[in-house]
Amino acid sequence: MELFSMDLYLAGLPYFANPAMFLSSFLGVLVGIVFGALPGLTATMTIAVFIPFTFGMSPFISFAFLLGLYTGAVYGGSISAILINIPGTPSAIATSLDGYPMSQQGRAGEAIGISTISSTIGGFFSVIVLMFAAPALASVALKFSAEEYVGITVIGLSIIAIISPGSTIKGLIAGVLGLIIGIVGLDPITGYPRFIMGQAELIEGIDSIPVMIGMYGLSEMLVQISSAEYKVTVKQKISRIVPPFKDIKRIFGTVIRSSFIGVLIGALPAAGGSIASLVAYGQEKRLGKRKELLGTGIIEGVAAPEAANNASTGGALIPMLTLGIPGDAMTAVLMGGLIIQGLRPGPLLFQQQMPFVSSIFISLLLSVVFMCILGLLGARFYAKLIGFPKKYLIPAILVFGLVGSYAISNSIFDIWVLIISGLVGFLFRKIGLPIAPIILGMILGPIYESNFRRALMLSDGNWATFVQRPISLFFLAIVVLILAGPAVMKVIKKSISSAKGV
Amino acid sequence: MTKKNMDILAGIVFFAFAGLLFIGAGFMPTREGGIAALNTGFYPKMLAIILAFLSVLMIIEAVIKQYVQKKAEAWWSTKSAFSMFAITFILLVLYPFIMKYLGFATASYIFITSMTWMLSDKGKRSPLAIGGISLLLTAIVYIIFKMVLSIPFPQGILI
Repeated sequence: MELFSMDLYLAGLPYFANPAMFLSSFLGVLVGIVFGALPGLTATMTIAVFIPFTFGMSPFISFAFLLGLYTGAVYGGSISAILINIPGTPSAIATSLDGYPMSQQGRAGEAIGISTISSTIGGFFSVIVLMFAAPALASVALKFSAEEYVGITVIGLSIIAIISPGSTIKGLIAGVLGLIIGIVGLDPITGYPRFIMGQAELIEGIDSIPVMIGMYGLSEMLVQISSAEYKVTVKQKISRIVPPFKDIKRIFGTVIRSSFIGVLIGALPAAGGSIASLVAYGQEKRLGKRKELLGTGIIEGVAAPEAANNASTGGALIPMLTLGIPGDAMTAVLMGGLIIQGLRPGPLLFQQQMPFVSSIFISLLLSVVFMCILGLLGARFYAKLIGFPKKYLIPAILVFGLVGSYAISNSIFDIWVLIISGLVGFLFRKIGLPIAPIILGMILGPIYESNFRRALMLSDGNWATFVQRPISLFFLAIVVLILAGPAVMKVIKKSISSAKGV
Repeated sequence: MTKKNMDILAGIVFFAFAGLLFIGAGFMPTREGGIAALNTGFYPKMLAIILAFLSVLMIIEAVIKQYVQKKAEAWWSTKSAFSMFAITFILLVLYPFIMKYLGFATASYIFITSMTWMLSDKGKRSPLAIGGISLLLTAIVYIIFKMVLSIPFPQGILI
């Protein structure tokens, strides 16, 4: 079937005759910006906590909302990064480097304006790349067999292990723990129940949404309570927001370069917005016209990371939609939202659910438009909200998590899953074990297992099948490169410097 | 506890967990002959072996590594932070029970009010403000989940 037909772009349009699509996209962006801007509420957590709201909705409306949340939250993180030097979400880490100095000079409004414009351009760029790259990749992915899927999942888990803070080994352990969570439930091949401990609720496996809300939402709240971190509130004044045209012209090159970086990094399995924005800032430091002024509060320093992190949103959706391999923790959670709607991401989604895929493109585009409007109009309002007392926010988030977990399958059992995941997540955060690989491992677990065992089944138990197929071999080589690369580089550098006698 | 010891301890715990997983997988039915991958216990056993291997690496890494920041991060910054953590935990555990017997709106209201009360600074606790805002937040939860999404919550005595 031809994947590159105009239908792919137009088939979703009729669904937008329903005003509910616009409303849910608008609300998604608004809620996303607000939650993204609140320090301590990450974009991943926002999406996880709000997924239960989308159960009763059709997949079209549900995704208009979730993609709005995604876009809004990634953008919203910059507001608190600029105003109070605390990135509202990890992808805004680099934004505070120049955003906060600007705000200290009384140019907070200008910084937010630049951030909005750069995010908008980055966002548009990424949607366009997504629209063309996704169907192309999907038609390649149609030819993938079990071996290749095994390779891609392992690539995803290795990348997330090396980019997660802390040691690579801890990241890998977290990934394997995620895969182990995926074991619980019926064996996909023999149908034998595994580790269900006599609980009928576990036959279908552990529901991923309560685990996500627990690991990201509940454990984050527990960390804030345990470190008495909930008392930070600062107020800032906001002046003019819409940037003058000459400023937009000045940052244009930076924005385009950073958008490219953002889409590329976003599209790598498991490397998301935070890495994209840091790399874009790093490139600005190398190539920018005013590189020596970076860090003192110049608009390029806000434009680069902000264009990159929003450009990564569309990029990260590419592997998620076409291969079923999420581009980062946020898209892993989004994928959870897709699965509960009964949709399996992967190349077949493009063949069987074309109108839905089409509506995803349009929804994402729409959310970028809303982000631009809401960003420019509402900055003063969000700035006030950052001061919203945490003593009300933390209990409200916790209750949303509790009720939301129950609502997934109307079962109190899921509340227990939430509480246990929250405690485990808290424990892991304290011992420095990253959370993102667990979530990715859990989402990828069933895909990995069934493909892995199918490959061995079809090859009569011959393990060599993974290296006999060229693409699969190539993927495994990438895994080795990713995991061994940094260590090998270190050894080479060491031996060079010792040879030089330094 | 130092960070080093904590990492070593975590490695040992993961290793033990891998062992349990391996033993547990051993009880699953296996068919003699045929492809090993088709047996139910195969995949859990494989993950157990990988986890065991990684946890040994983690222990070795912890022993060799020079820790810049030696002291482990405190679990609770202050004594009162610990008691807040403990109370939060108790409230979380009580929530499903209260929801079952009294209804979900009541459970949510009790949860939000007690948490807000606890997180407010002593001496600045205004019962009216806390009670009122908690009621508003509960109403939002009620409207979204009960009225908009019509989730069937357990029939408690109250709402």
